[in-house]
Order: sequence, then structure tokens, then C-alpha cells
Amino acid sequence: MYDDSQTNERSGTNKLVPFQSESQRTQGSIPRPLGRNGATCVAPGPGLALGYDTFHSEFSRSVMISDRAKSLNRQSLTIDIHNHMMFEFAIRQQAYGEKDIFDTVFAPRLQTGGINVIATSVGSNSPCLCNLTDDLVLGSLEQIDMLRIEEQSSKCMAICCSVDDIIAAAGQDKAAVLLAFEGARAMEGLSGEDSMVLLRTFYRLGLRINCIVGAARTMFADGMGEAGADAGLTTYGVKLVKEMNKIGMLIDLTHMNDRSFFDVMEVSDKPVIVSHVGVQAVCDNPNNLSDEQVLAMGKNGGVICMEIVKIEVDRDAYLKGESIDFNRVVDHIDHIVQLIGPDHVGLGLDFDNFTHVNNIHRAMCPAPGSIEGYYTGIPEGDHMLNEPKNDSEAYVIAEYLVKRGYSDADILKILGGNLLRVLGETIW
Amino acid sequence: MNVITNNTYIMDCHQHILDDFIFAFLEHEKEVVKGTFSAFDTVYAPMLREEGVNFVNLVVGGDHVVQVLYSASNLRFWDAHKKIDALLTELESGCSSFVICRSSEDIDRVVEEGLIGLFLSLEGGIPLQGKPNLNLLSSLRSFYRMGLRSLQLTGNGRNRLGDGVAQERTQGRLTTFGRQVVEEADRLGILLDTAQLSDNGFYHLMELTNRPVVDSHCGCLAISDFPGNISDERIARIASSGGVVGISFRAANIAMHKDWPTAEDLINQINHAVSIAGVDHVGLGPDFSAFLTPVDRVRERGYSNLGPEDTQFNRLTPVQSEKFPGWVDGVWNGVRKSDFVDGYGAHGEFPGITGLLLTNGYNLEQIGKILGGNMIRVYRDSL
Repeated sequence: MYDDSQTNERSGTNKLVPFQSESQRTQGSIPRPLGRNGATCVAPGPGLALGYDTFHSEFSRSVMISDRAKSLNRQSLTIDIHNHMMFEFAIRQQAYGEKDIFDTVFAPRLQTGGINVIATSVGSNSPCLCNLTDDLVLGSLEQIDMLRIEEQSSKCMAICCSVDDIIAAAGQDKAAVLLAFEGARAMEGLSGEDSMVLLRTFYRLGLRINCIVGAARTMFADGMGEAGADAGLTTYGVKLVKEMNKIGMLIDLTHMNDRSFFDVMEVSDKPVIVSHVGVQAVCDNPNNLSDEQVLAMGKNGGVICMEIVKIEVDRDAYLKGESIDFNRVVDHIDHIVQLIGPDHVGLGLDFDNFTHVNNIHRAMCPAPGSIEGYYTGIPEGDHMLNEPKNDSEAYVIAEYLVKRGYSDADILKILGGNLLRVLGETIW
Repeated sequence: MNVITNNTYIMDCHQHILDDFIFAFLEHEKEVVKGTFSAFDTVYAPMLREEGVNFVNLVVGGDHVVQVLYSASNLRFWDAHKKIDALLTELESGCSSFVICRSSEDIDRVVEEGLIGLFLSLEGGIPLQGKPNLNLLSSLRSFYRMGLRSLQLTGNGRNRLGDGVAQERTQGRLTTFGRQVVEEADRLGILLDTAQLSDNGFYHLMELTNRPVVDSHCGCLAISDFPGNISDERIARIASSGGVVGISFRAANIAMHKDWPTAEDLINQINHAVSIAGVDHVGLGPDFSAFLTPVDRVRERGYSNLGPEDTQFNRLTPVQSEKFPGWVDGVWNGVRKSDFVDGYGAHGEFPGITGLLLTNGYNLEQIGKILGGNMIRVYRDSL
């Protein structure tokens, strides 16, 4: 299991580490993410507690990264469209009073992993996503506020609201951070009024990606936890989708039940994403997409994003306790590419195995292991893939795709090109 | 001859608790607690006596914002408790003119002692919903202990139990929590009221329960094309469960496209319901609102848009319809001269229904059933 306990030193070692000089950086063999135009990105210095060596020495025992994959990682603007750093970020900031959390904890991980852009959940369907309050609006506002304050002092991050912002951030060797919701319940407002006020307010605060449902019912649509009700979009949901199209917010259909999913496909005149998912043809988990849904995504022009959560990559192997690596995810990718081509695959790792929050499922309400009231179980052991174990190992993904015979152009699309295209069409 | 007073059971199957009563209760709360004043006897009882009913299916909370005192908040749970508390406090302080009916014995007592029997009802399940990720049946049991005996799963809109008629587009059935609530209501003996529930939700509910269910306030869709009205199939299904269809007196239910429906429209609705369900399965649920309803108010004010100058009371309830005239949680009701059938728009006009039924060929036995016998039968089965 990934262990970054070395970073958990609270006695003043979390100072921002000076950045390496160009020469220092180029000496190492770190698969380093680069700016879009090839400029080198800021990498963690040798004094940083969370050095890549920890991962790399362990990791390099199993996989060798080819020069071609290294080159692709350098060229790529890699996007992780479903990131959960706020689980950990909020606790480090509030409970432990740490400073410069992004620069000292998260930036090094992203840099090591070769990730340039993340969309991080700042709310909103359940307390575990909302700074552990069930006042979902307040909790979401708190987390957005934390990140905004962090951005002011951070040398490594920029909160981005458009593709131009993302490209500018990459040019400055900063991690581009998009704000996202996982569930839109904080936007519901007063019962019966179907107001768009909170949607537009969160938009003005920088929210650009909105996953409409989590596990349960919202006033807009239902999650897979309510698949039994087999309900489609409500009139409020239709209104929400149209307004998101209009103002420029990317629609994320992860967790949505089938009828609502196809309703959105009809209503939305913009591409949508499924930010963290797999396909049922490879892993028979009801949360994964059916072939019919995959085809609909192709028709919509959207992107299906791959996660590294074992139970949705290979449920059977996970339940047997077997090792699973990204090869199995590439099986999912193969299936999607066969059905709708390589222009509709991206990455949304859904990594949530942090140090303080190493298994968020234990912190869920009303009982450990239940999400929004639906018991889904507490993952045994490490529920993330064995390779890559976490976001800091994401640079191996290119190697797995190379080995499977994907072309350079297709790999670059999967690592971020496709998502960048859809972001350009939806959030401008 | 006053037929009404000769019947054992005269029941209003759907009435909102009066804001006027709650207002008087809060104004005189200290006296009520001491037992020196009864808001029920002062405000409510005279109105119910005027209505001529001895049983009321009384809505103490629900989904629509009209249920919420003080402000247009989402505090439906709090609000329902406040209203039930007002009634319980009146009883505890010595008011002896009404009974909160919890059992068949309570129904007998109401008749024997000439009291008013209230069946407490929720018009929608939002008050049962828990915190954002937590729906527990504890809320239902808590309401039951306080006297709740009737429950609509939804209002017009969506909640975490199911979808109302304004959300037919979802084609949704009941949620997990909705199913749990149905099972627990059956176990406890809470009458399930399908008013305003979407068709798919209705048929799902009918699969889940073997007890009689009712629709406390509706009209026949075959006659008036209003989303809150129900199809002949649904009417027949309720009748076959042993339940009752309560005909509303609201204009939108009775004749959606008429500005001010008349007694003829009302009797058409009742006749149609009787022809589908049989005379043993029809009742009356006028839906008199949370405040005095003037028969003749000016159109410009809009649906239910009543201020103090209309009611002569300081109204506490902000009406959603003041923001969205003509709409109730996604259902267009129209803006009319009156929200009710001409001649049947207020408590004092309810007794006229007896004459209407008599002149339309119903005999005294049938009238007794429609006026209350049927609904009391269902409650006796249910409790």
C-alpha cells in the first residue's frame, strides 16, 4: 500500500521547498510533467519529504517505462478529471493546521505522476464531500474558499475556469485545478421553486464541472442507488442541464441511473463526460456503462474517463483479492475504442487513498461503508489498482497504452487531449 | 330537513389546518397552556360546526410551501411538529371539543359524545426525509406516536420517496425509502393516501400494499384534464383495494378549463366517480385551504393570493403562489376568480352538497356513505 507517512510531519517540516534549478531537474530520471509547449514543470526538490524515490524505487521493480512512454508523458497535457484531494486537504488544513498544503503535499504527487490538470471535487451530495458538514451549501463554499486562499500563496497551482486558463497555467508550470461537484444537491434550493440561483452562484465562484447525482436521489435526477425507481430527469433536471449548457458548465453523468442518463443525452446540446467509470462488458458492475450508453456517449461527442478503483475495473478479481493493474483498465479502453473510437476516452482516477483519509468509506454516513444511505461496503485493503497505486504513479499509464499498441496520437488523446477538446466545447 | 345532522359520519377528507387557528394559538400560547383559552374552540370549532362535519382528515404538514409557517424555508419536519404540537397542547390543556383519532374506539367516542374527530395527515413525505444522506423511518414512527394516521408519499413535485404528478416525465417508481415508508405505514396502521402521486408511483404503491388506499382529494381525469386528477383505471384500482376516492371542490380539479365551475360540474365529477368506483368508494375532499376563502375576490390577486385585507387575519404563511401565481409545485392551476366551485368555496358552503346529491338521485343511504361512511369504514379497517 502506498505510504506517504513521511509527509505527515507536523513539526515545521512542511515548509515550502525551494524549487530545483533547471539543471537539477534535468539530471533526474523523473517522468516529469511538462507544460504544453514543452516547458519544464516545477518538480519537487530533493529535500521534500515526499520524494518520488519512495514510489519509484518500489515501482521500478515491476515496470520499466520505455523512452517512448516517457516522451509521451513529456508531450502530454495530462488531465485527471476526477480528483478527491479535498478529503485530505480539508483535514490537513483544519485539523492539523498545516500550511502550503497544495505545494508540499499534492503538487509533488501530481508532478511525479505527470498530471497537469485536475478537476477536484469541492462538494456536494454528502457530508464526506462537504468538509464533513451536512449543510451542503456551506461545506461546498468552505472548500472552494480553502482552495481560493491556497491559490493566493501557492506557487504550484492555478484555479482554472476556461481552457485559456488551463493553457496559461501549464505555461507557468502550475497545476491547473478545475472545481467540480460530485452530486448537485447543494444546488437544489427551496423545495418547489426550481431555482437556478445556486447553480449560477457556484459557477461564478469557479465551478465548471457538475456531476448531477451521487448515489441517491436529487431533485434533478437519481443515482444508481435509486436504480429501482427507474426515474428519468425531472423538470428541474431538464432546466439544470439546459442552464449548464448555456452558462458553460461541463455535465458529468457519473453515478446516474440509466433513464436519467439517456434523458440528459436528449436534452443536452453539448458534449458530456462520465468522469470516473468503466464498462460493463469488461467488469459487470452496475455502476459501469452498458454498450448502449457507450454508443450514446460516442454520438454525444463526450468522453468516458477511466478510474483506478478496483471494484469497477475488475470486480471478480478484486473480490478474490487478486492483483489488478492498468492492463485491465486498458481492456475497458479497448472496448470503448472498438465501439466508438479513440476520441472518447480520458482519465478520472478517483484516487482517495490518502494518509489521513486512507479510506473515506469508513467516514461515510449514516454508517461506515454507506454512501448517501446506500450501503456499498467498506473496501478491503487497498481498493486502488496495484499499478498505478495512486496519482503519483499515473505516468505508467502511457507505458501500458504503448504496450497495447496504441499510437502516439491516440495515447495523447486519452491522457488529456479528448478532455481538453470537450472542455473547449463546454466551458470555453 | 337537515340531512347532514342526521348522519353519523360527516367527513371532510382533505382540509388544511387553519393558519387562523395556529395564529390564535401562538398569540395566546401562554393562556392556552394555562387552560384559560382555547384557540381550537375559539377559531377552529365554530368553522367546523359551520361546515357541518364531525370528522376531518386534517393536513398538518407536507411538501408544499403553504405548509410552512413563518417563512418559505425547507423546514417541513419542524413545521409539521409545530402544528401537531398546537393540537396536542390544546388537548393537554383541557380542550375537550375534539379528538385526535388514533383508533376505532376514538371514532366511536367522537360519535357518542358529539365531538370533532381529527385524523392527522401529511400531504407529502418531505417532513419524513432525513439529513442529506440519511432517511430513517424514525421520523415516520415519531409522527405516528404524535397521532399521524394518514400519509401522502408526495405532493405535486419530487421528494425522496417518489415523484408527484408534476414529475410524470421521470416515469419514476418509488424510491427505496418510499418503499420502506409504505411497508412501515402498513405495519403501523397509517392510511396511505395516493393523492398527487404520479401514475408509476401509484401502481408501484399498489403492488406493495394489500390494504385499502385512498385518494383524498382529486377529480376524474376523464372529465377534467388536470394533472392532479386520476384516470378511470386508477379510480377502479383504488375501489378494488377497498379504498375511497375523495372528490375535491377545487375549480382546477372539477373543470380545469372553466373559469368558475358550477354545481353541475361538481355533480358530474361525483357521478363519474360513482359510476367507476361504485357508491361505496367515493367521498368528499374539498381541500379548503389554510385560510378563510372568500367566495368573491378579484381576479388580479391571483391564485390563493390572499393578504390580511382578504382574510381579516394576519396570515403567517407565505404562499409560493405569490411568487408564481397559478402554479403549485410545478402544476398549473390557473388564475381564477375563485379557486373553488361556485357555491362550494368555503366551510359554510359545504352542507349544500347534501341537497345537490339529493336532487341528483342519490338516496339517503348513498349520501351517508359519500358524506363520510365510506371514509370512516376505510379508517376503521386501517387503524
